[in-house]
Amino acid sequence: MNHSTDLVTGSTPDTQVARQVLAALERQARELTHLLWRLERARRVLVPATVDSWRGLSKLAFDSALGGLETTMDDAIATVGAAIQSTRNAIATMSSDG
Amino acid sequence: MGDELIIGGSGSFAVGTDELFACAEQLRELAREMSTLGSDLAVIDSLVAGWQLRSAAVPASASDADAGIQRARVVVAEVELQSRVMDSAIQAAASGYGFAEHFVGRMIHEFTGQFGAMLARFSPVLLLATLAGTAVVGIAGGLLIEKANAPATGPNRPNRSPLSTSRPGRPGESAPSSWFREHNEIITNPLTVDLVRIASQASGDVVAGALGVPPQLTSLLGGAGVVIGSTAVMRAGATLGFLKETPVTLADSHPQAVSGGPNGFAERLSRVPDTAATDGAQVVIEKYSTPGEADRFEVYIAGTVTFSPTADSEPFDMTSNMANAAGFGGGSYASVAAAMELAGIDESSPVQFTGYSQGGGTAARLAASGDYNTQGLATFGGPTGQVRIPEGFPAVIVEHTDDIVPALGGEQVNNHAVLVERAVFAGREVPADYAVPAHHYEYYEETARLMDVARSDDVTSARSRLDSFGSGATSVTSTAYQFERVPQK
Repeated sequence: MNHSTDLVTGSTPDTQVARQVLAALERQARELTHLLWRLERARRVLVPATVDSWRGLSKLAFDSALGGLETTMDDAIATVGAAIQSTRNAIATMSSDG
Repeated sequence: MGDELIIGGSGSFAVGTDELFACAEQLRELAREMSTLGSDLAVIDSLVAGWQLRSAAVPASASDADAGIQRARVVVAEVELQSRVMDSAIQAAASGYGFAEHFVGRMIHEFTGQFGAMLARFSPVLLLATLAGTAVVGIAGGLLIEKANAPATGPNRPNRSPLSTSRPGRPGESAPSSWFREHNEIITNPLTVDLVRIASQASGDVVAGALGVPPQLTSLLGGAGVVIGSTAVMRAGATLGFLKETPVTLADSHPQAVSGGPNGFAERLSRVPDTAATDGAQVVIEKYSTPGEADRFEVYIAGTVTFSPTADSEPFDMTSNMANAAGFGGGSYASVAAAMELAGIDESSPVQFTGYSQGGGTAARLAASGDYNTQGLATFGGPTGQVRIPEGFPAVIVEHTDDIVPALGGEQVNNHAVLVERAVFAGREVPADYAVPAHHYEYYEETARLMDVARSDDVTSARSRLDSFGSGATSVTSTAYQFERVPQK
């Protein structure tokens, strides 16, 4: 472990890293939140509804693929949501640690 | 079903519904957005470096967040991949369907053409019977219907048309006597329409076969089939005193109100003259002027006004229909060309053509002539199949698959144009009001409205290109022209 102290700022290297990481995490939270909004919008607007033009087995196959796409999209949204939550937890922990 | 638009052409074999193509475009857009989001996630992922996360001062939740971002990158990439695969599947299905349709159509044409040619070659009597029969049935049918529907109206009015009845209609429409109306489901059957298209296409092979052209060579006739067949019918009709072309002359022209360029297909179609409402005018030309620029012109062409096989005073008649199919300028073609000259259109003037029924066929012929600086073309229910429309400008061909009139033009060769098809009476009852209901103006108007709300790229981009033709004009004028045939002694 590094116990040296910066003579100008009076902080240890770990403290400096913590400050940099805190700033980066705050930016990460903002950008992930915006990205989540875009992802949810894409889910709402760009994932097509079922197409009546298909018939028989083609319709079954298409609807199944569409179902898979919707599930993956929901997974992406949930994953980004969880990443945002973890980022916020990290920010909260680091802020409370001073 | 009846509201479903089938989109094809645009230089590909793909044929599918507007809904399907719109879905494919949505999937492509989704894939693009996922690709962007994936790149953005990579940038976010680099905000906190790995060595920073290993620092004692950074909590474990920061590492959880990092792991979450990396997983999100994988899942987003998976969404991108899934949407691309689905888009490809739609394109493959549409292309496969289109290719199969083209291939089967080609086989049927080859078979019927060669079979007809072979029969005619070994029995020239068949040719004589075919031509005389076609001419006589057409002429006699036209005359009978003409007489059955001879109301007390003047010449050149649409309700004088042999295929018109008491119900008011537009030129090019048809609604003859009760027998035709009661049995109109036969003529509205897509199978009948296909047979008419095949017969029309194969007519040239029959003529060539009878003239002794070897079967191997008749298959090289290609698009000349309809031309040869129509020419032969015209020749046969002429010997009986029918289907004789005459010169045309301007009977009247008058300015009419216009507020700007058309906005959408429905409005574009609505500007095609209804001779009943335009005092017999068959051609309307709008002039768009901008200081310092060449004048631009929109030309709208009416449909058949009378189906009489005798060349009376009306140039938008059956004789013009046959002449246009045979590939030489009929009375309707000559009328529009003369109106364009009167409007000041020369070979360099930018011009767009829009036509319904015979007007559609005439519009396609004018665009194909190479005599004009054509910038756009829209045809509704026109026999345009074998008219080779040049590439390089937006061309939209609208046909109902249960309408025999476009089928008379033979197989559609303009694969580069946007071909919009619709089975008007699929899943609904055929109305008894008209003889050829699927050709009726109101149903093409309905289709044009559906096209205005269509979402597939081919249709929306063609619409926007056609509509932008007159944009920026500081002055717009509209003139209606009426032409008459010059009687021949």
